[in-house]
Amino acid sequence: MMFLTCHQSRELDRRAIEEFGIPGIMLMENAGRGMAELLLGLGVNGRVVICCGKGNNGGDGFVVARWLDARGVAVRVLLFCDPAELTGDAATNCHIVQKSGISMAVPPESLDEEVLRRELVDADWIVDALFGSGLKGPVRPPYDRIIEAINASPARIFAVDIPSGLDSDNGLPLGATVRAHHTATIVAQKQGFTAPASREWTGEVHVIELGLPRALFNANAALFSNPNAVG
Amino acid sequence: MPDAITFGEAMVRLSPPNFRRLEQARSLDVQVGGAELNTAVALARLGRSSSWVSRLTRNPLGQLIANHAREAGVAVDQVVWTNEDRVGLYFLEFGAAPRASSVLYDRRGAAIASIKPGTIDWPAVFAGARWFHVTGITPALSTGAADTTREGLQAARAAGMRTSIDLNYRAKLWSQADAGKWMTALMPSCDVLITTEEDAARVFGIEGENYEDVATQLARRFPVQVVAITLRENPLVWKNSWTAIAFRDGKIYRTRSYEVEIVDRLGAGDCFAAGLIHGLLDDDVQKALDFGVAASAIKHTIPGDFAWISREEVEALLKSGELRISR
Repeated sequence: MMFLTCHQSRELDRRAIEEFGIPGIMLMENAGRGMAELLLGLGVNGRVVICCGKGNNGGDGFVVARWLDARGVAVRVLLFCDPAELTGDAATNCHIVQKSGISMAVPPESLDEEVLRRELVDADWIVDALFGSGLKGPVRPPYDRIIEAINASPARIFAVDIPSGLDSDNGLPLGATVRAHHTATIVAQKQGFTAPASREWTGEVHVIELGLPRALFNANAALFSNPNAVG
Repeated sequence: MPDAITFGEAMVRLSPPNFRRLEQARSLDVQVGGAELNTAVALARLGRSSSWVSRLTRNPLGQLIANHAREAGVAVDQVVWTNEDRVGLYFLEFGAAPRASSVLYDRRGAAIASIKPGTIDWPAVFAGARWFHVTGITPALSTGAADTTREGLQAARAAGMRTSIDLNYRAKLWSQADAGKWMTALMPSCDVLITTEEDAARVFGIEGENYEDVATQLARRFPVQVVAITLRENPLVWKNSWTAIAFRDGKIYRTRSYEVEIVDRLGAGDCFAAGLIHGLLDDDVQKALDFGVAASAIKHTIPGDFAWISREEVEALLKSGELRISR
């Protein structure tokens, strides 16, 4: 089984885009579609609330929202940043969601916890698309409170790539961290998931393949041959 | 149509006779046990029709389990049979003070651990049934078993049934953090919560000044109608005092406490759940508590996980409370 450090994940993305000409939005689409299919396979019996941050993790969340909506699932997107702050592929997918008439709200930074609790309390699933594997320190307010509200909800929690707040290289919480029931990690398991204690945060880990060319791995064998490499 | 459905794992139980340690064993007594099956058995013995749902490997050990369940009056026609995986075992060593009884599990890779949502046709299983019961043991077996437990509870609610869950925390199966995460996700679909004070603290971090306080906090945190807490004082391995309380709509219900001489306490809590469900099927919380505690008090005296009790003897115990030889 292959385990990737944060550095290796980024390198893989960069080379797929720069050396193989795969558009980033195609990678995001494959990730989000794979996650939506996984989620449906795990059983969706109610509303799915997707909590998106401003990075590419949030972008994956928008794709999940679109695919679930297309399958007739009741979806609610909560975007925890000003939509104007979104860039690139995440911004594109946010626009698509907005134009698709999918229910979406942008809670204010001053976060009303009771309002958030009500948003989350009757969800069947909460999709955590706040932060990805690049997080380097504890999440800042109000994200710590958002994570606490997610953890307090009786919904099942599905993490996009990695539970928000977890260090992808050592599997330890950096601060407030989402306790997921399932984690859909992209391309390969993260190095930190080798730590048994990380399971408390990730739940069951599923790998979502992006359809990257085999040649990409072969051409970069040296990069991926050392699972303990730290970037 | 069954009154009650239970869902979970059952195992073959092997125990050395005469208080021998496993290391000394030359023969092993064979029984069948599993929390949810035990509850289905006790419900059948109390006169309710019950069905047990599981995923079981089609081999002689799987057949042994199904045969024992049928013998005790439990329907097994909704069990999903597979040619894969295995049947779980557990070894039970009977202790005597100061040596506690102990359990050694050999259950990893059992068929139910590979179950996934969609494996069980819940609407078909629930047709005509009134009650669905699960425990915290099943979600501890695997994520798929946890997802399927949740799926079953949601389907039971959708079918208009009432549901109960016994926390049954097993430290040998999962961490307190994992148990808390999953049990919180199951609670919205549960009408009745059965626990001990100790498990409420370990799974939900809820501690109180007394058990009434713990019950109140549980009822406040989760949308359950009834909270039941079993209370055991065990100064000796073979002699305990045993009772329980129930909480509904701000009111605490009590029943008498029994001094029980323990022949075999495994399955006693599961028998309590059955007595409780038996009374709640009649919407009578006091009857539920009385039956739960009395039936499980008798269970302590019966070898094996199954409660080979009768409703009549439970009613007789409730009526007289005396321990005279029945002639």
